[in-house]
Amino acid sequence: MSQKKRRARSERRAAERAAVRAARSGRGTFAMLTTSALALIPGLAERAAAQSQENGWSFAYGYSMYAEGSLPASKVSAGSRERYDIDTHAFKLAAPIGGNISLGLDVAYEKMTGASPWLIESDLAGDPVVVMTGASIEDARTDVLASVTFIGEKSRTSLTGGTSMEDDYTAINFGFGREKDFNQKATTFSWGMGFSTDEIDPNGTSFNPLPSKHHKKVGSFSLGIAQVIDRASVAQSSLTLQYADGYLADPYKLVSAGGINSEDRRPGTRTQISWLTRYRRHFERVHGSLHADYQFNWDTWDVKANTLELGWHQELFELITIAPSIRYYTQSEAKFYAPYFALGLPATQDASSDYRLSPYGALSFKLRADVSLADLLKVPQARIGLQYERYESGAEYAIGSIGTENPALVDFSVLMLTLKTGF
Amino acid sequence: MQLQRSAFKAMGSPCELRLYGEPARTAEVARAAQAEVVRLEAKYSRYREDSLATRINRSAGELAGVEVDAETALLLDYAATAWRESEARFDITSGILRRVWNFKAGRVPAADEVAALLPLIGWDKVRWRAPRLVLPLRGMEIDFGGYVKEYAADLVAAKCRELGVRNGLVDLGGDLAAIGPHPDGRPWRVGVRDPRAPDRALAQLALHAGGVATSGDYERCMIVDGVRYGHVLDPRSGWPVRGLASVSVIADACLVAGTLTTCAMLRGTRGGAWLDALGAASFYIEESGRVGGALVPKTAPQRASVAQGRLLAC
Amino acid sequence: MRALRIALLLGICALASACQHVDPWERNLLARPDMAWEPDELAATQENHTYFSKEAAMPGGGVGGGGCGCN
Repeated sequence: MSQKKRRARSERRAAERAAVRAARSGRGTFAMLTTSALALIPGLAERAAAQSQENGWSFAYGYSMYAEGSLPASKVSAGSRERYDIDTHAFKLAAPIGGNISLGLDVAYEKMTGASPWLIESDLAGDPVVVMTGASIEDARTDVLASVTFIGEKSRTSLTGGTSMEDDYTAINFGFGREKDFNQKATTFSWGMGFSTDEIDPNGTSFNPLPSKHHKKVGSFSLGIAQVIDRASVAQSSLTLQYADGYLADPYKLVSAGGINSEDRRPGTRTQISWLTRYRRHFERVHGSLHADYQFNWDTWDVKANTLELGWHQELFELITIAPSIRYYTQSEAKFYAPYFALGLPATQDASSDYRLSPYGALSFKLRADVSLADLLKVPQARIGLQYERYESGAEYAIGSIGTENPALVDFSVLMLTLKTGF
Repeated sequence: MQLQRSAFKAMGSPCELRLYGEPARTAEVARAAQAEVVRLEAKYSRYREDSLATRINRSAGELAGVEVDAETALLLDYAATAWRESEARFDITSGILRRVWNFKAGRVPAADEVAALLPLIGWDKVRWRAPRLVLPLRGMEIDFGGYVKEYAADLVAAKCRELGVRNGLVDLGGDLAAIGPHPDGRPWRVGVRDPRAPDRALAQLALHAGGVATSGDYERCMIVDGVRYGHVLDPRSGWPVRGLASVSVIADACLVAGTLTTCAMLRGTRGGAWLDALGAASFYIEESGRVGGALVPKTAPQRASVAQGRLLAC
Repeated sequence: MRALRIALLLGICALASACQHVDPWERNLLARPDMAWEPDELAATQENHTYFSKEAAMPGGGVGGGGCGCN
């Protein structure tokens, strides 16, 4: 069969499949006709994307390569200067059942290799230096999340359940979410609850040869509202409350107090609040969109954090979108944090020198390119995306002055490729 | 950016392209656009001896049928979908009714003349299995005229976009497809004719993207013995429909908009309610003068200034 | 920082009162992929997981998914 005929046949088959699926999913005349017209009119697939997303199949695959920068010799007193490299494969599948139910399955597989900070100690000048773990640790994580979503005329309800597994760690989680539309979908109110229970069974460390199992339970609740402001802009704001109870410390980290190393100890509970506001605005004349996100975090460990992300999505040649963005993050320290403690501490007192609880700021630059393959493949949602991010953290980026920077603060680069399709 | 307008005649109607851009470039784009319309007319016009449509119609009665190309196959699939969705009202085999209905001459056919044609009408009688189309009975015809103009509008708009024009409007005899809004984001203002005074606009619709199509009983109609006969004929009976004086629909594609207006007209007085139930962006005027549809501006009068029984211009 | 948060809250209220009525068929711009909350959900999940592992703040925007023993 000739090339042209083969292509014509596949175009027709695609339109047929779409029409049959549409009929099965019980969608209206409007959608049926539009679907039937997709193969006839170039560019319609992109423009009609909103309608065809009602309840269809979608599949996405992503591959990400994450690499942390190695530490300068001046900051490391022992152990490997190299840090983590993480390779992740992620899959996301959505399948419709009938017209009103959608099943989802998200699977991620991650391989981690490298060294991580073990403890912070004081060097001869009194400056903190990090002792890293020795040769490469190799670990793998598998994450599975299944969901069922019931799609109503003006609402969506979803139930989720999942598990996360590592060599030394297991977690099970459940979630419930509901969205309700008002004002002809101009306003959407959403709320949800989640619960997870974790168990960590640490591999023996040279400090703690007889590790014990630890457990943790986390419950969360969120409320959100999204609003169409005008035909070119939308905004969303949501509040999330999380309560964690159990073993919240890191069994692989030590803290130095009075010259003696002891285990990392953190409070048995932590309440966190996160407030996220997002804004999207499209500028027709230049064919670009502005993305602005701001998040404020507060918790009972005294950590306060602010995140601001600004991005510009520029459309080129109707099929390609280039999006540079910048993210600024700043956090204050946990109340029981210090790079090291000059004086000894009682065994029951909380203490940690984990850099993730230290005061610092971080600036990251991201560049993303997306290409729509919808017209090429006659499939409404086919896209390929490539993203690069460079993240740097340090005391110099923080708001306000930081007395002592934690020497284990991390810089990293990520390269991510995603393929997405739907029908 | 300047607005360039170019007018030409094609598919039996006055056509106009409004393109924003540099004059030299838009002139080139206008030429390419016009060529596309000419191509479609040459292929699907039943008045051309050498058109594909004529070749298909000449094959009626031959069981071997005709092998069609990809574009025609997709158009036939679309017609099949429209036939199913409209419950057999949108039917591209109904073109032969023009043999007995002559609107120019003002001739109303006899009942048995129309009845004689009905056995040759019906998409379910056609054997269509890509790429082969078979019209089993002699005298059957496929008429692309009911939707090829709207399809052409969409194709031309897509072609202009492909060639770099991002703002403009394609108008093929009243079937409109937006290439893009005005460069400052303003929509194209489309007037809806008063069905009983077609030189006057009754309302204005805003078109940012997609297409707009209109069907009305005032286009190609005739008044015989005080009775109005519109050109939209119900393929199941062979007689004109009554109920809606005019209906306009805005959709992602002019092709879809056109199918919806035709189907609405074919449902008579229930056509408006049908469009509302679909959630279509429509503006319809019933013969009684009542105005309805999601596109009705908030300040429009509930009853158009149309007197019942005023059978003026046709 | 507190002043910034109050300004944000006022900004949200001001925006809310400035909302125009947008009919469903006029939402073509809002349906664009570059106007989505997350143009790429898979990438966003991965990013959030990374930030969550390396920073003290938990990601906002709703619940769902579990934790991990991330170091």
